[in-house]
Amino acid sequence: MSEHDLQQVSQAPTRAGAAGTPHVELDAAHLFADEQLPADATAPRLDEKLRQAYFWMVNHAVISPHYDVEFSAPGQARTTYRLGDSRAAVHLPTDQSYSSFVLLPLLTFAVRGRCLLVGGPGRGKTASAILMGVIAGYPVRDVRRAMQHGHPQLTVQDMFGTPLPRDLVNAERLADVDVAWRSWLGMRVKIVDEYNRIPTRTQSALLTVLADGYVEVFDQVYETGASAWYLTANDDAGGGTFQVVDALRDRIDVVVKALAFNSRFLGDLVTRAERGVRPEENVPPGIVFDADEHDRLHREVLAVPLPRPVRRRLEFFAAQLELLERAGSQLEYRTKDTARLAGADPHTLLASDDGRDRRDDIGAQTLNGLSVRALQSLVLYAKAMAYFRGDAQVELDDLRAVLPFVLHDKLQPDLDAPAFDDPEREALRTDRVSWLREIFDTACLQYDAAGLDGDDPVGDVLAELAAGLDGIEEKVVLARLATIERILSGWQRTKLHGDMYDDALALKYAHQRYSSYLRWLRWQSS
Amino acid sequence: MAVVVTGVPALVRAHAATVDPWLREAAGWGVDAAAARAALTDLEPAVAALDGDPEVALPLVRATLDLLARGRWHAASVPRGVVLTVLPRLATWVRAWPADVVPAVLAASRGVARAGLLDAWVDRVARADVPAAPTDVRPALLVAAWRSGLVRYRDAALDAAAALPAATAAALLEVPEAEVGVVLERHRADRWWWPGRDDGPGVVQRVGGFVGWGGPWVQVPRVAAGGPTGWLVVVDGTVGAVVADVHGSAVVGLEDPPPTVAPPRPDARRLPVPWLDEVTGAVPGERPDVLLVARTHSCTLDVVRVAAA
Repeated sequence: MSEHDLQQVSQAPTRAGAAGTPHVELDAAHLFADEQLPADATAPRLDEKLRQAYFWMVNHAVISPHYDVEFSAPGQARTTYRLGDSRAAVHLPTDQSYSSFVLLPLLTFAVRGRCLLVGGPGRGKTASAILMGVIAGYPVRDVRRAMQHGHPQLTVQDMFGTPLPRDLVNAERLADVDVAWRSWLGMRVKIVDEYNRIPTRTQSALLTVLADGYVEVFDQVYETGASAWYLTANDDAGGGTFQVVDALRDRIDVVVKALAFNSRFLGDLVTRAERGVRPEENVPPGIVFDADEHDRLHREVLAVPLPRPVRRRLEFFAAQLELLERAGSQLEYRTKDTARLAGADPHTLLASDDGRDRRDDIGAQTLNGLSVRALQSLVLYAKAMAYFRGDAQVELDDLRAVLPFVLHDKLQPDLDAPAFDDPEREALRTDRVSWLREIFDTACLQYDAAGLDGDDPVGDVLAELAAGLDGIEEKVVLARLATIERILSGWQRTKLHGDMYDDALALKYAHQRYSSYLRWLRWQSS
Repeated sequence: MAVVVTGVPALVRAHAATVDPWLREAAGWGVDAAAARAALTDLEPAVAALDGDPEVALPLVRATLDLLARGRWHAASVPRGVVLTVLPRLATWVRAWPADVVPAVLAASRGVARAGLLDAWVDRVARADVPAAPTDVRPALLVAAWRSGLVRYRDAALDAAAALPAATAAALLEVPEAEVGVVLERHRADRWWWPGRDDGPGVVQRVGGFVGWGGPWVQVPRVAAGGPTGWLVVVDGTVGAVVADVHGSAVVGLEDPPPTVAPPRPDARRLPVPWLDEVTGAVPGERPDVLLVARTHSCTLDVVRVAAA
């Protein structure tokens, strides 16, 4: 880990092949690229700049020599060594891999999401969040001042703004009361330290800002605009002063754990202490994103396409999680959400569900399904991951890399499920990241085994429907209705799995659309 | 007239007000006094070669301390070699514009050295007259880099050469001053033409080579049409775009290789070449009479000009 020059930014391209179309023709800017480019030089691509920011952070700012977000190059299997009695695997990835503790906050910056950093005291959570503020172009002093520190007496007014005392005395209507808004609300990077020490009432106000981007005090509304949020907690398992409101927890896009310090890197700590150089005070200007670049970065991430094969695997995975056959009678209500709203224990209902193999069925390992918000976060971060890696579109590896961090607090494992009884899977009760990755891999294997890429009759039905009903003749509608009924008829003797449940509901939807259209068609021609 | 001081320590002491901030900055990055002293001692012969003129020597001191702080002052470091051996060879340039030449040569040297053309580039720059204005230093170095074989800088260098004073461009291109404009225009239109070069049929450029002889490839390459330059090479499990002109050649790896189609296999006996081998493919380039040729028993590709039909 080089500590020589905090102002040194990794030379582009930081990821071979990610620079888009390769430069065949070079110019003076390339020949003299070893030094600071002149101000009028062509600006680097933002994905390259983002990677340079990542490598500057891991090389100079955050001592995190972990590569837990692993990637393998196509056709190059990773090498694995197994250590100790537990056969702990040391995987040597064959493609550029990353440290989640640095990468996920950076992707949060790119997509202006909400990131929760958890871990013991002194692990660099707050320092990482401060670095994000500096990368957004704010002076360190301003970032530190703007950071909100959670404590049990923190009020809504402490956090957001205070009505002016003069107005409180003179005002005849609430609208006459001017509020002195706290300056941090307008910043593009917002940091809330120890958010689980904030009282519940203030948490609810914070929820409004996080979710909707506005604050209301004394009937005055302040629009905060889009921003990246960083929340920290020493312990997110209920160890804070106050229980975190569920709705607030659900608004968090990713959860990142500060990994343990590797004692082999103590020398770097010693050097840093001796030199007295603070990385956050020496961020190179070349990796700072101004407001326009930040906007463009977000737009470019959103523009990364999510191809159908990747989307279908995500659909298949999500479909496995919600079905709970014995939670309801009507098809639409046979879900874990129905059980939860009724106060029933999904585990008990899952246990009485003897139709499927509960060890293979990933839905039998969770107490809940995925919310729309969770799926949106997943797609957004998968796009950000693909963008960061310089991929032209989201690859399955990109989705697989971010999935555990996005679903970390959103998918509750059923720790009493038989799938955890296997001694080899015992560790997955505590290692949620590995568990999430494993159930996603299982879902992908099941998807491939079913050959759904090549044979997807429900997908064909939905594609035909998506093409529109305008001008479709009666005999065509009848043929399509017959197709839907034939597919459903063919499923009558098979076990109901999550994907089939979603497909059945989708076919019912398509059938209803065609039936309504058919009635209208016949009415029109009568 | 500047006072001439001999020896780097004396120079540093005499200009302490200038050098001290640089030393403090280096110390901030972990450079200790012994390392700084050793590096400045290394600098002694280079400063002596430049007559010890403070105005010339101080940019070298600055560059040395900067490289030391960046961890680039060690035996295998290209920039260190540039400070110690290249800059003295470019003494007339350094003396004329020290504040411009030292950083520019240092910045460009890594890229040029990666192509294995550092000596040729320095020789060409040293032979040329010093530019009349400091703003011409960088364009001149760029033109010299292309003319020495860095073909990927061709378009930028042609533009830079056209903008340079004719005398400076002529010295770098090694053409008569009166013909600079004509040569640039004609070469821009035909990358295989250059005054004094044989423009008859034959091999006009060679690309790549076996790794054992300093080339980039282990396997025998194959050629195909396509990509950004029209010429593709398929070798060692990769696909690259071939960039070449009369002065040099390069291969740019393509991450998303276009589909390659095997080109026709002309009869080698009909090609104006000094070898007998089976040709595995020949692809015409910008001009139909200039082909990129691959053969069965060579790791080197040949650019061959055939007789006009």
